[in-house]
Amino acid sequence: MTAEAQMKKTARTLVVLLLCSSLAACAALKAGEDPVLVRAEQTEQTAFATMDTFVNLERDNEALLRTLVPGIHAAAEAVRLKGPAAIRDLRDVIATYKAAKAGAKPDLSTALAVVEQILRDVQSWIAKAADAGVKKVAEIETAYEIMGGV
Amino acid sequence: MQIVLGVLALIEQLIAAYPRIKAAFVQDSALTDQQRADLTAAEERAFVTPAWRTDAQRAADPAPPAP
Repeated sequence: MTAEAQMKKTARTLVVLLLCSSLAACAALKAGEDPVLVRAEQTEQTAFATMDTFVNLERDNEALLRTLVPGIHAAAEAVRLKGPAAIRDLRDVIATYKAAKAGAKPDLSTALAVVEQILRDVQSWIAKAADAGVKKVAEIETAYEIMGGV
Repeated sequence: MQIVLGVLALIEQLIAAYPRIKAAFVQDSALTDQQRADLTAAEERAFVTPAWRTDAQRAADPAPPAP
């Protein structure tokens, strides 16, 4: 398998896996579990892991990514600005939800929606970065072949 | 060649991060108090690392002490 084919396969796998992370409702719940609470906690964990991965990757590969994916730095800056507050808000409302009695549970949807929107944005930028990386490698391989493998 | 290596390293890092995301993905019950405390601590530790610092924070304070 060529480096390009390997990259394409890897990138496709990666994008599918990351997009799956937005569907944090696939595992069957144990009996007696509150699905609203479990899904909210899943979303918090998934969003935090995805955001943390994204800001670390962007910082570690800033120069390369600025070249490959214009706009990704601004997107990462937005995550750095909004992400912690969104996670903390969701965490607080989850704590309130757990402490409240049945029938007096607060609505989690607003805090969840903010975190989910950031998560979707991050997933979109990761997919763009993977796609741009594959295209760049293909360009380089084509140029290399035109030059006769010199 | 440098770009190819950079892209490969980038994708390698992304794949390495996947187990963290998968762990949340397959959660089937509410967090225990200890798991909640661990998650909160992990989040707060991460938010003060260099990767989470904005350009404005870096410009204002280029070399903060390690958390």
